[in-house]
Amino acid sequence: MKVETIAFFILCLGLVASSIAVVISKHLLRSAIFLALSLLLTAIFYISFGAELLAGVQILLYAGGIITLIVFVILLTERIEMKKLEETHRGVIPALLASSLVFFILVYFTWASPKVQSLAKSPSSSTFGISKTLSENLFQEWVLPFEVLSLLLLAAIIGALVLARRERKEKEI
Amino acid sequence: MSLYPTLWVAFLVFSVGLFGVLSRRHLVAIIMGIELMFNAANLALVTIGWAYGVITGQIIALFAIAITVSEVAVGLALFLLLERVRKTVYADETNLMKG
Repeated sequence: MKVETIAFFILCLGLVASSIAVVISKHLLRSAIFLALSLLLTAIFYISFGAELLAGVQILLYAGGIITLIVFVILLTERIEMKKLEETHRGVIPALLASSLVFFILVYFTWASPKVQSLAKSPSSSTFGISKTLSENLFQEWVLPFEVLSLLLLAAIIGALVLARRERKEKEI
Repeated sequence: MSLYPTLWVAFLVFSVGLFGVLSRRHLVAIIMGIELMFNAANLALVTIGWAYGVITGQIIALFAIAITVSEVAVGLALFLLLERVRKTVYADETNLMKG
């Protein structure tokens, strides 16, 4: 057994274990930390598939931005009326059934699909100059979605500001 | 690196995220489950793009990451608003739009 295979196995195991820890952990901050771990392990997957730029974006935006936001929100709302909140589950059995059904459907259709089978036998796995090709494609073929995305980000910033702003009472004005 | 194991790991993470969305009560925990599902979808996109040898998978994953970030920002703002107005953080106690 090659070292690469063992490392890949450990990586898969770590990703699955940290994802499960995110959904079953009782304490919300702990599950946010496990979410950060799972996103970082996904970045390692990206690097091993030759997507270095995407791994950098993943670490910066997800593990840097989103986890910070989530931790801030948890700390802001952890206590309501001086009562510490305990996280509970509800409807575990139906949720387990539904999610395992989705998992088996996905696995079955990729296992049975001849297209995916031929891809798995001979993946092209070409290692072209990845950042150069990506930026050329992004700014030539995909430039319109890119600009629309910037508009979406602007709308998200304004929307989040308007929603989270505290309304001033009339006396204060 | 091989195609099938990575795809299955992505599907497993997706199902775990779906389980979290369906079974957690706290709204931030539900948002974290949605994050896991997005993450698994991105991983599957990158894997399939690698197997085809095209860059399009990575570009779509890049767009998906940006869309996820804005979605989480708006979702957490909605959560803060809900916590301030209704004094609850649980999804099953928010029945404002139930008829």
